[in-house]
Amino acid sequence: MKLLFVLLIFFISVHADVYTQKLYETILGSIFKERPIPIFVSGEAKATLEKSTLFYIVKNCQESSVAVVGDDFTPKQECKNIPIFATTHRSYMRIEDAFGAFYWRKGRPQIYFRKRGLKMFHLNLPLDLQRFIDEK
Amino acid sequence: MKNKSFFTKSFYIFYVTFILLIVGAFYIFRTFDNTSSDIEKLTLQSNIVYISNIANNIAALINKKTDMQLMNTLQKSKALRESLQENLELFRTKRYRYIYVVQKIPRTEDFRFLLDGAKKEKSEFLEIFQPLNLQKWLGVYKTKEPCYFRHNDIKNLWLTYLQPIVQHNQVVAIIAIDFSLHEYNYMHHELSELSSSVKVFMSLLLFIFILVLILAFIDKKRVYLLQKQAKEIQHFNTTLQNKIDEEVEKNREKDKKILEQSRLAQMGEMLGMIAHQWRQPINAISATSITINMQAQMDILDAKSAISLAEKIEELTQHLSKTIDDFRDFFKPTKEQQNITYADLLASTLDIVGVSIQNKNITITTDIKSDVVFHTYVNELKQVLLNLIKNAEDVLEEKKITNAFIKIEAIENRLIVRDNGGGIPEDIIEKVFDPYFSTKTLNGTGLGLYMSKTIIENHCNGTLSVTNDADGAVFCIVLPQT
Ligand SMILES: Nc1ncnc2c1ncn2[C@@H]1O[C@H](COP(=O)(O)OP(=O)(O)OP(=O)(O)O)[C@@H](O)[C@H]1O
Ligand SMILES: [Mg+2]
Repeated sequence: MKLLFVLLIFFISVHADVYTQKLYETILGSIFKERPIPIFVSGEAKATLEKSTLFYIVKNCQESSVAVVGDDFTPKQECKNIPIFATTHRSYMRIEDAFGAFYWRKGRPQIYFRKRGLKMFHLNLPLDLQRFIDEK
Repeated sequence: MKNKSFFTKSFYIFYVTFILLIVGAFYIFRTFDNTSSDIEKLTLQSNIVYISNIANNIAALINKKTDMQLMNTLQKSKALRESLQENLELFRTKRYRYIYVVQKIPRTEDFRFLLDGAKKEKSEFLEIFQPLNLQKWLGVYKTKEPCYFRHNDIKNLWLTYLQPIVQHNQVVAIIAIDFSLHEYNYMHHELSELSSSVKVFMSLLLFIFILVLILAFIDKKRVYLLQKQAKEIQHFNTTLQNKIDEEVEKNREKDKKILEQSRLAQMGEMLGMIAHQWRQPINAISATSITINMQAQMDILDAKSAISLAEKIEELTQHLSKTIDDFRDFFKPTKEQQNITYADLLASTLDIVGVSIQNKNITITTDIKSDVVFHTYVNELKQVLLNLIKNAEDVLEEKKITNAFIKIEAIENRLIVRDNGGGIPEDIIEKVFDPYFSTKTLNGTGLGLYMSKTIIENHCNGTLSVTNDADGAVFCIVLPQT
């Protein structure tokens, strides 16, 4: 019985993890068309993204199509032309050029896109993601 | 028949109990399911009641500390924000995972954080927030009433309680309290543990019952087999009895035949005896007739002596006739038992054989010390006695014993016949009563003693035994006294 309980908990958390990965895949996969998508990752999201076959993690920011960054990221010169996708609220706020963000808050997935960032890198959002664009 | 009904009865009892048990099990499972959902409801309700109180208090607190412009007030005073957040933190427990205050951003469907009672992963002031189940959140703004709803899609959350903060009849913010799944899982875990133990118990009960049923069936089979065996044994016994009866019947037939044979043999002997008996009277008749003849020739036969001689002949022929009657009576099997004493028995038997024995120079003596009256088959008994006397006579004659004697003694209910013929050799004494056992090469049927024993022991309920004494064989008849 105990074992079943542990398994249940394990399943839920694994499930959530898979959910996170799926969300990254749908969001980024619908914006960037190459397969696999070369991405530069910094911060917490690395572990999740490594598991996905849709992405292919590059060490150098310049070789990537998109930089998926967390709090530890500081905008560098070489990443200037690369669209940035934030994985925390703070980094999304800090990096004004970031075109979007995805993170968890109070157990709810938070997805945001900035018009400015999208325009800057000529990114097109599919219809079902457009409702996440914040109007400011 | 009785057993059978017993078994069907017990079978019905088992059957009914079995049905009852299954119905009971279903009932228990159903009740258990109902109860567990009741428990769930109750837990939910008590949680809601409790949390609504807390939420009310928090709302009151926030109302007290701020004015209409909640957002502006909080924005102005970081200290107030922090003190309120500390208050929220106090309520955060294992059970209540997140407690926070959000405000709808006007003209959008997004919310922003005003206060967050979290320590880790704390949201920032005015951070944008997209809740799930958006309609419920918007609904609170419309109805100004608290609401709660369950989650199926949020990690580690069970349900969310939303409490509006109302100022001047307007919702200015929402206090959101997210319940941890921990409590729910714990409850479920306990309930499912209980249910599984109930299930285990019930199935164990069923299993035991079925086991008992099977055992009972096996036992029934065993008893059935036992009964069958008993029946077979009984059947065997009856057939055995039948066989025995058959054999006995056959034996009886054989005895009858043997009796016939021995009777024929005795007839032959009887003729001899009659001859002996008749010789003397016939001689006497002959002598008388010669006397009559001579007296007639010498012309001295007067009427008187003629009458006297005729009377003598008459008397002798009477005697002959009587002898024949005696013999005929002797060989008539008695249909019914008659009363007789040993004295009478001896007298009538010696009447027949006495003469022939004395002719062979054998002394026959009797000694009667018994006046017991026996109720028995008289003629058969006479034949037995005759047999014994004949056997003695045979051995005495064969061995040419001098001073040969036969002594017959009657003491109470015993009749003893002894002779001085030297006895029966020890190696055959066991066999003399067997049918067809005879040492006599001529004229011995070997049936005499066998017949005698059968008559004494089977018909007259007595015993016939033989021993040897110094002189010869001693036969002893013991008859039951009535
Ligand atoms: N008084 C006796 N003394 C010695 N032997 C005897 C005496 N009576 C019987 N026996 C022995 O027992 C045998 C069996 O006797 P049983 O009367 O049965 O037959 P049997 O005399 O031989 O034949 P049957 O009686 O037909 O003439 C005799 O052959 C004899 O050897
Ligand atoms: Mg004999």
